[in-house]
Amino acid sequence: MRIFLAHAAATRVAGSRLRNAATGGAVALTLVSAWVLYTESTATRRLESQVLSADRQRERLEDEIAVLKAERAYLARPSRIEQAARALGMRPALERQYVRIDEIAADVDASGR
Amino acid sequence: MASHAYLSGASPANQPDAHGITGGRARSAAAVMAPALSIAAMMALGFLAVAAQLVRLAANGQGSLRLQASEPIVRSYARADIVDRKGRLLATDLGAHSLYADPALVLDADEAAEKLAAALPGLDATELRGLLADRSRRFVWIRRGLAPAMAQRIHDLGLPGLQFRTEPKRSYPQGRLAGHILGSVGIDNRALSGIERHIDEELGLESGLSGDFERPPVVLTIDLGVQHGLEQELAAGVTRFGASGAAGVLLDVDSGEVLAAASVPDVDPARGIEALEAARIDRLQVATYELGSIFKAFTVAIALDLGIATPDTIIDVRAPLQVGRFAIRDLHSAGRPLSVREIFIQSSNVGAGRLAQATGRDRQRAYLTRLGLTTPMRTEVGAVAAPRGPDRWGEVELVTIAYGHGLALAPIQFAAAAAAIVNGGFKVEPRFIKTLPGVVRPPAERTRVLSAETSRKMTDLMRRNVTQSNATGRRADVPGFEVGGKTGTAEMATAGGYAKRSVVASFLAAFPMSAPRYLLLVTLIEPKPETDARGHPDARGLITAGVNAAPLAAQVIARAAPLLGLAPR
Repeated sequence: MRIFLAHAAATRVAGSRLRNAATGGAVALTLVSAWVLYTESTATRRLESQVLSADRQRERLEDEIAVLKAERAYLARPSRIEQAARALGMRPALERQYVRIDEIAADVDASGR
Repeated sequence: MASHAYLSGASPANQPDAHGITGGRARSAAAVMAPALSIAAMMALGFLAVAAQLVRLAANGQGSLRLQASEPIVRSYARADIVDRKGRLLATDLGAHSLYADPALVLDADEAAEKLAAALPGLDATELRGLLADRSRRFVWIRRGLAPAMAQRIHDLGLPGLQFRTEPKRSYPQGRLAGHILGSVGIDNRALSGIERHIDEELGLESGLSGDFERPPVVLTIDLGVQHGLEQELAAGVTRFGASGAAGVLLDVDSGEVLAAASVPDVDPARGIEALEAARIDRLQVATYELGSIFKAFTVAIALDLGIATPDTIIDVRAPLQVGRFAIRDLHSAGRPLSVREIFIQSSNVGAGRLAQATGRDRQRAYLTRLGLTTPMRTEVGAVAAPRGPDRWGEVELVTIAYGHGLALAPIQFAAAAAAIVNGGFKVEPRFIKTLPGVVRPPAERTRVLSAETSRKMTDLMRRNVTQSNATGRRADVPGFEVGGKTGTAEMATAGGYAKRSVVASFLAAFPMSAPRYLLLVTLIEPKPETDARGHPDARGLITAGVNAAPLAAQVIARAAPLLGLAPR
């Protein structure tokens, strides 16, 4: 009888422990999962925010680069360059301004310098 | 199943123990634990499913769904940049503010319409009031492509229900330069004409605002500096000679690449509607002209190629050439027989007519067809006006075509065919695009249309036509750059005849003639006699190509040759 009682008590204790362990495990799993979900969700939102922010920054920079490129092309347009060059007294090169390199070398040889 | 086993006593807890007593407490403990374990197992499975889903999402990277949903709805098309052969920007997209309204959010349509009409010129207040008062609509465009200052002014009005959207808008930082080549686009950045349209046809349209930054540019064959020089000189020529317009093209004789092409008056690519004005048509491609004596280059080349004559062959040109009821005469008769060389240099109509008669109608037509002068052509800029030839290619037409009347051509078609005369005899097609991203063009086949020997002889004739003192093209000479060429003055065709004092003056040039690399054709439409410093017209009243188109060509070459990397010889 004592053995039976002891066995029953042991079984009850074991069952209780198992139940407590299962409950505890489930609670822990719930908490861990909730934490994982929360952190993943937060991280995802943060990443999305970063991506959107980077995307907006990219678009803004692209716009700025496009404007700068257009401005550079506008400032370097041939009509403006020509006007500026003429104002500086420059003009298209004439035939007599071209000299062959061997002619220069011949001059140097002749003068010895 | 579990409950059945429990009721039937199959569970070990229901078995009598060593003392013959069944386990009532044990049974109750197991009965409590079984559902708890089941719930725990189900929860575990659920969490496992969630965990698996998380892993799957992380691995598959579904984040783009969120990004796609957050992209603005695109209303305009993004276009590739256009640059010249040296990478200088000709056309690009810039972000522009477009104004729209949500009528459901507009509080006072009358006030909004009134203020907007006052701020935006050309806006119809009545029509706008009707649109804004229609609360069944949620989106109404008001004005697209606003300048930043104007957008700020509208924003400062503080009207509810108005919103801005950023759209790509085509911008041409070089202004009017190469306007006819570039063409234009509409309000939604969709191409309407020119190279822009060709790009759409070849590459298709892409919605803007995403991923367009890295798109490689479309590279044209034109050189911005040469293009500017050509346009400026043509405009100066139009002013100097009082012409109604001018056209010019400079191309590489081997590849057909167009270095510069222009028509004056020009057009602003940012204002596509200008191209619809009759005075601003593209005279290089869209108009056809009888180009006069520059056609003799073909007549002589064909005769040389067929072996009918050599440059030294003597032909009697003393008497007018009678063809049917027409008598063909020379402007200044030499009064003696001329060699073929002299016929070319003195631009004898009678001599050209006699060479054509020796060639014959069928062979003349066959050669001109091989050269590409009788069939419609197309360039990347668009369709070229079809050649207008005679309805009946008879004896009269055979002779008149020989000196440039009877076959009207777009100047660019003539120039492309003329390249074969100086490039060794190969046909070329004019090209405006050097690189189109993603489009691989097969290398062009070289089709011989004239012999190399004919080309060499023609090169010599053209050079002499500029260097000899009595030559018609002597004013085209540019020291150091070995210019050769041929003049052409054609009376303009009118209804039922020709206008005596209204001509098309052209000069066909090539350089450097020791090894021709470039061909230039300039055409002045209806030039007047040059005026002196006091505005008095030239006493001789000359309007022939030798006094206007030839020096104009020289001006263009003097500017273009150094830019093309040619050093004087």
